[in-house]
Amino acid sequence: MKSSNFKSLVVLFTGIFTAGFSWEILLFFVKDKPVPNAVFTQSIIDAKLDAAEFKYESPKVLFVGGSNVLFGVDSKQFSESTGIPSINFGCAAGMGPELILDLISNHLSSGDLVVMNWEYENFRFERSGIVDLTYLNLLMSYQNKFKGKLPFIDQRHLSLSVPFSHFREALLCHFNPLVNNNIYRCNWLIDDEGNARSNKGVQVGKKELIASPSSSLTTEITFTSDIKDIFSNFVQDCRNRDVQLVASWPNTFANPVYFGNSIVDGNIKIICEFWNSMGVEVVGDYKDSMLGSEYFFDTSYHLNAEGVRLRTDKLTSQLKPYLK
Amino acid sequence: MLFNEQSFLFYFLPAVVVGVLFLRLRSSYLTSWWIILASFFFYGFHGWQHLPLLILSMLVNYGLGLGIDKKAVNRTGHYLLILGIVCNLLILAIYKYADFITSSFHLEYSLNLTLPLAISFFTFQQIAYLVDLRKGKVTSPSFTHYLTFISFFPQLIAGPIVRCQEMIPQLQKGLLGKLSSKNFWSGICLFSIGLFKKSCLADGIHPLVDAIFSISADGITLSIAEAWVGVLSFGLQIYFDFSAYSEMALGLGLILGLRLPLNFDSPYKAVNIVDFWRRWHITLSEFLRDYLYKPLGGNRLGVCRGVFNVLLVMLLGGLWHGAGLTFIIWGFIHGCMIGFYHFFRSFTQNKDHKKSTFLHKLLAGIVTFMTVNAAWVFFRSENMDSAFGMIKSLIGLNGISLPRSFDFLRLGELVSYTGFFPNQAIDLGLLAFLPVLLGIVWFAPNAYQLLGLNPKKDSYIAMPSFKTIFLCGLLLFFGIKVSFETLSYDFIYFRF
Repeated sequence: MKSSNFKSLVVLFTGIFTAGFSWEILLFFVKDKPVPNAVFTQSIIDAKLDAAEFKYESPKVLFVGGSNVLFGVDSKQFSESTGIPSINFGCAAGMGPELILDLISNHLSSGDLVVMNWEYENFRFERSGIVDLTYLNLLMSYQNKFKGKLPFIDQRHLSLSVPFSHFREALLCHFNPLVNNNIYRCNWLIDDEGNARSNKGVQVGKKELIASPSSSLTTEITFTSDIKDIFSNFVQDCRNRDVQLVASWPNTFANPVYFGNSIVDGNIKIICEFWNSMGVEVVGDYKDSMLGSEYFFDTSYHLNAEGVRLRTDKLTSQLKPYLK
Repeated sequence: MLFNEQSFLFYFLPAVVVGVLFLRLRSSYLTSWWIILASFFFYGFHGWQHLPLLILSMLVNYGLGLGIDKKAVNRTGHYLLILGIVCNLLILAIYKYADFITSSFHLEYSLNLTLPLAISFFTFQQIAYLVDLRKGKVTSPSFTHYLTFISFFPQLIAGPIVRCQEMIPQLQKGLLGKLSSKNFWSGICLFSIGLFKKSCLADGIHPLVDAIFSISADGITLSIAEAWVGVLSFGLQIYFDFSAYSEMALGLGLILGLRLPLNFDSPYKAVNIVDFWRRWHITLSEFLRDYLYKPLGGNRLGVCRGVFNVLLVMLLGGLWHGAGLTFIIWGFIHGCMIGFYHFFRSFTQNKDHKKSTFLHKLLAGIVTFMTVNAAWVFFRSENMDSAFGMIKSLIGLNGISLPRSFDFLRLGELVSYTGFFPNQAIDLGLLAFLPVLLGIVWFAPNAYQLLGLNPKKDSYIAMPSFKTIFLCGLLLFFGIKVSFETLSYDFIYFRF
């Protein structure tokens, strides 16, 4: 290689690394300036952590997942019928399972039971793939320390995935003298045990639900290596701490397209196999969590109060054999 | 696989360049076939079902070209040329216009064909080749060179529309794969600038354009400010999108050793509409001029006939962009503007007038910019109702909306006080982007000026300075960075 070519190559890469370094500095500058979406999600996390602090006694039951758990399980009803304290730790599916599991790991003790109801899209989670903005926004602000725990390559990938608009939104949100950040906090009514209480009535119609089947269920699921690692590490951690672990199904609208669908059947089969391969028992059938449109509040994952009551009843009876 | 996607940047392009570096030491023939196969893969990646059409089209045109070349002196060559043009236009008509025609005449029959990628480009390129052969401007090249000329992946999808005489001599000289430092580094710099323009500038303003044109398509009345923001945003989006593609194509060509023709030369700095078309999609303008306008008689048959010819050419140019009434109207508007310009020129050219002053040029530039941008409304709108609604808003016929604080003015019924952007559809934070982009368009040097290139001439390519390479490194990072984000958008010209 000619020396001029070598010099040019060095200069080009110097430019690339300078830009990369500048980008990291910009992200560092805005890490204490959360965007509205991060304020919203963090306020849900805060409510969940408060609930976990409130229910510190063990053994207890933790219902874990995205918003399908937040709007799908009533831990108070569960505790009343079983006499065992329980916490609803359903947050937001977009946060990804890794962060949610990291948040609950500090609140697990020997003898606890963790019931996982992951939304179907969570099985596709990949740090170096297409990541959800909710996850990114949290990692670039409130959950920056968690980002530091991830592998170096994944941290860089996540930094590159942050859109320019994040920087703009963070600055506008932080320096706007007219608007206090608190207005972006989640205004759902969440009780002391982490249950959503503002899901009264029906806000979503049957037609709308039928027209929007979950694409994560109707397209073939391939488990990413990230998701395999995340869950196997968590399972191992639970075993070491004598924490029981079972998997259940996310509540979903019983869309007719799911039934008799070979892709859906295949997905359900590989999810069961996935859990079984790690020694995690699957509780009940996926159809148990598929309900009619009258039980949904605002989306095909969020049940209304009546739906929650029905789903919790079913889940309680299914979980009884696992309660000590 | 777009030029700004990771599959292209991290896998396809490095693999092609490494393959070229390896094969060029052995044979230029193998290098050509490597590029041809890579181009087929690149094309097929967007839809394998259309690859046979591209290959068949090249085989048929090459065969016809051989016939035309051998029968150059008699009528058979003429008939073969007509056959070639008809075949090419027929394929284009079937795939691109059949459903438009049937729906225009309210016929129930529909072919429901998906449009093969780049069909307009490779069809026009091959028509030009056949015509040039018949005229004796070129001779038929070897089969390998012909396949390389048509399928060369940097220009296959969205131009430039390369002519045989521009590329075949380079292939015959064995320049493909002959990597020189100057070409390579100029190519890398051009590609980096283009990538940055596409990823950060064109795609950056996309949400603004999308928001405004979507609500317009939904039949919602826009305020005058929203309409102007929409028009200017789209004008800037398509400017950066197309200039990005053109620069990336030229850059890739240089990296692989070939010089592609200039296709984009700061069109918003044009001082009249003819000047605009000499700078915007230059190879299409030249194609329409040489293969349609001039054969129709050009302006040799008088001003009126010249204006008519321009109108016809621009109508067809509009139709080339897409099968829809909105594109035809867009072409018609440009035809009218060019016709008016010719008419005006013929009226004033005999009169004594002083040289253009700076003020005159400035005003002419602003008028050209505004009219070109207003015409984009038809280009971008999903239907005529939406386009006319937007035009009405642009000129204030849908009323004027001012901020609530101006309520005290009480300016009559046409003025409301619901804010500049009453539909609340746009991200106001993006508005700051507009003056920045306008500043780049009007005042910044273009990529060729920055690199000291003159793609119009077969001139000396200078090695970019270290300062320029460093700058391009910065731009390359941000261009690549965007490919990691969730959203990416196609090049606008891909759909033609």
